[in-house]
This record gives sequence, C-alpha cells and structure tokens, in this order.
Amino acid sequence: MRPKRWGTPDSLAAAEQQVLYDVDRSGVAYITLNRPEKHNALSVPMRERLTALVADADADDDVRVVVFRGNGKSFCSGNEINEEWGQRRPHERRRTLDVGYRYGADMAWGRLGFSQAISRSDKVTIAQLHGYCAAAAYFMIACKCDLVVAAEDTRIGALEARFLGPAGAAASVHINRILGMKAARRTGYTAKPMSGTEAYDLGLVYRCVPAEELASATSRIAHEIAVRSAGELDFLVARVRAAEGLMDTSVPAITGLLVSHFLQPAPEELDFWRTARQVGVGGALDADKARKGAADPRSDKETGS
Amino acid sequence: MIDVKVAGWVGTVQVPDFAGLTRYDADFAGELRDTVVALADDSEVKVIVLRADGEDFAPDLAEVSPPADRSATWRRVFAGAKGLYQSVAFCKKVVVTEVDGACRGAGSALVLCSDLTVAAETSSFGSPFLTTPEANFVLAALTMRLNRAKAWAITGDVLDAARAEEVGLVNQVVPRASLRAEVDALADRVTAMPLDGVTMSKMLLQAVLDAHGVGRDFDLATHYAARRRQAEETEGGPR
Repeated sequence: MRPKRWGTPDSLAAAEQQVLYDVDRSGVAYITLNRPEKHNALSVPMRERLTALVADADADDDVRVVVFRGNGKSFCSGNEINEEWGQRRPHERRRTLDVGYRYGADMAWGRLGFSQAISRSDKVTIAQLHGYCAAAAYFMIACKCDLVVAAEDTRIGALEARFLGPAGAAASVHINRILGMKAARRTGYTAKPMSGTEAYDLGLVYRCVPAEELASATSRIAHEIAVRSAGELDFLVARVRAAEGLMDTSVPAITGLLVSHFLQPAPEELDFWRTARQVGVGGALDADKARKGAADPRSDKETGS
Repeated sequence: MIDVKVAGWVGTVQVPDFAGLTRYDADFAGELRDTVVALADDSEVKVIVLRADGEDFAPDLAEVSPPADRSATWRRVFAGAKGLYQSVAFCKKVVVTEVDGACRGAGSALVLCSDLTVAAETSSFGSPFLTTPEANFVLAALTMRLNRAKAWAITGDVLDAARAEEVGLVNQVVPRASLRAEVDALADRVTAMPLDGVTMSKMLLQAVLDAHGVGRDFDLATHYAARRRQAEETEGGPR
C-alpha cells in the first residue's frame, strides 16, 4: 500500500521541473526552485520533492554541501496558498482535522515535513537568498540551513502573518535562538521584512553581498567548505546537529501554523487570496506594500466572502 | 607553572598560556581545575581572573587529538562533571578570561565557559569544536546566537577581536597595552558586588544554563569524542 500523493494532476506533473537538482564535480549540490512566475511559491508536490532531494543528497557520499536557491525575481515567497487538492478554496481544507494535519504537519513543519529534512540533513546546508524570502521560505528553509548568504536588498520575514493570523516565526524555538527574542517577535507581530543587511546584523545571515555578487559569493563559500575533508565535515555537522537537538532548535515547534489552519478567514485574508489568485503570491505581496495598516474587521465594506 | 594570587577579593590565575588544555595535558588541566575550585571555595574571593602572560592565550597546535581511549582521566579532568570546563562554567564565583593573541582550540572552550571576557585588539578566536569535542556548543549558541555559532564551527573562520565583540563572544576589546589594567578594573567592579549576591546569582544561573541544554551538551562529550575519533579514522579525515 502506498501513501496518497497530494496535489492536482498539474502540480504533480510540474514538480520535477519546478525543483531542479544537480551536483557539481566539487560535491556541491544545488536544489533550485524554478517556478519564477509565482516567485517560487512551493506547491505540496514541490515540498515533497524537496524532501526527496535532500534525502538523495544525504545518501550521496560525494555531496558535501547543499545549496538552496531560486530562479527568477525571488528566492521563494513561501508555501502556495492557492493550491487546490479537490477543495474549491484553500480555507476549505480546514474543515477536516485529518486534512489540516496532513497539510500543516506532514507537508510543512512536522517531523515528516520538508523543513525537518533540511534541519536534520547530514550535509552542510546553505540558503542563497534574493528578492522575497517570505513565510515558509524564511522559517522552514532559510532558518533551517546552516549558513545563509543573502543579497543586500532581500526582503526576509514572516510576511504571511499579515494575512494568515498567527505567525510561526514568533513561536518557533530556532528563530528565537537565531535572531534573539525581540527581533523574532518583531518578525511575527509586525510582518515587517528584514533586509539582507539587517538579517546579517541580527545573526541570521552569514554573508551579505550586492545582488550581482550573490551567486559567486555563495559558490565560493560552498566550495571552500566542500574541499574540507569528509571526516572533518561529517564530525562537525553531527556535532552541531546533536547540540541543535539538545536545544530543541530542530524540532517542529511551530504550533502557530496548526492554529492558523483552523481559523476563519478574515476579510483582508480573502483580499490577499483574491489578488494572489490573479497575480500570484509575489504579486499579492507587492500589492500589500501599498496598503496602509490592517483592514478594520468592523468595516461595512464588502468582504467578498 | 600556575601562579595564583589572591588580593582584594580577586583570585588571579596566571599561566604562560592555555595550550596545555588543547594538547590534553592532564596534569596541567587537573591543577588548573583544582585551582579554580579552591578559589571558588575561598570566602575572600568574588572573582577569578584567568590570565596568560605569553603572547597568545592559547596558540594553535598542529597535531592534536582527543585521548585515544576516552580514558577515565580524560573524563575526570576535562570532560566530566568535575572536570575543568564544568568547574568553570558552573563556578560559584565570577570567572573572567583575559585574552591576547591567538585563542584557539581549548582556549576558546575556556572563554565560552567563563562569565566575562576582555580581549586585546590583537586577539583572534578560532572555533574549538574540531579540536576539543568537550567544548560546549550550546554555550556558543547562547553567547553568539545559533547561526553565528554554527558558521563558526563549520567554516573554520577565525574571528578577529572586533568581530568577536560584535557577535557577543567578548564583552570588551581594548588596546593591548591597557589589557591588564582593563581586566583589573572590570574585576574591581565585580568585587564591589555583595559576596552572597554573586554566589546566589551564579547558583541561579546554573538552572538557566541547564534549562537551555548546557549540561546535556557536556554530558555528551564522550559521544562527541568517539565520533571525532571515528572521523579521524575515516579516509580523508582531519589531519
């Protein structure tokens, strides 16, 4: 008996080309998000492919370092929120606990989720960030990698908190350890993004460079690490993973997301989805920049529900 | 080899350097541990200063491995609950490290265990995690924040004094010529605190450190040392 594959026929068929994988001769593996028309928003099949590719890299003795990067304007705008797996509207998935659990835990933050595959990888992991690094891309990829290299003008943060209610960023152990408590709470409670420069100052980013130097800087760092001896890297990664386990920074402690799956949609959340359906998640984030403050839920205006 | 002075509530421990810890000199480490414990027990001491009078706090050593047999001596003197590092990390008096020149290997492990660190502008800090498996990574993550500690461990980057201050690894960076005077001034500030207050604060800190996983990371030192040995035996392993 095989587990059900979640996703539409289209998203399942597209995933292989939307997450690319190659390994160079120096032992640096590249996992490249390739859905630029949607700012590399992650469909469920894309997330499951990420999990499978990290497992492939872990099993490959020739791979020393895994680099996560994105094609197009952004690294990644987070999880796809327009996804339909038989439901007509995204929030309908909240109607059943088993589907909500499957989506929220197994496919996102839980022990079976792709972020856990990254945080428990046997290899050194590097995130290469540009454009948007939002929502799941922020706390499930970038914050789970060992090193983050970012373009100076990257917009990094829990931008989904603006639309989806509780933000995992404020409640997750690893982000509090990475940024410090105040900065972690700011990302969760204001949804204000950090620039690459600010993320460097706060401790998330290892190297911050002009956008045009991003690929070469990341490659240089990855190859400097890859030439170290296998035994040395194996030990250091195992040493760090053990301590992360002790500190609970690799655990799926993002309960806020679970809660978010059972919330009723707010008017502005529906506005966001309507825009996202028309122009994609990245376009909706762009449109949100023009707004002034949160919508008043007592407003008489048409909610569109 | 270990010179100890007690004056004005300050116990000063002076050695040529701390490289003996990196090369697993059990006699040196045992004597240093006993000295720290004795000073902590001294009711005339509020603060303990660990000082190297050579050019480097703990110079880099080319060929160093943890003891092959993870011996009882290694556990007792270095890695165990009564070993040197835990005696410093859980000391009931305030421990200050005074760093000039190279601080590598066990020297950085010692800095992580100490409460306060003053560094000369000419100092630099290498990660202890490859050479010293009993070094405490949780202390590094708490001190520098998680990602900086991970990068320090994995990349092998050496932090200069200015960067060490930026990331919070040291409290203060001063000109080399005034290092000793600045450390003495900092120690004097601690001596102005009430003795019982200092001791109670250190007692409370132990619970906080353990809640964060510091003690558990110390407890796994034998596992880390074994893994390090296994890595050395792997083809293409370190050194």
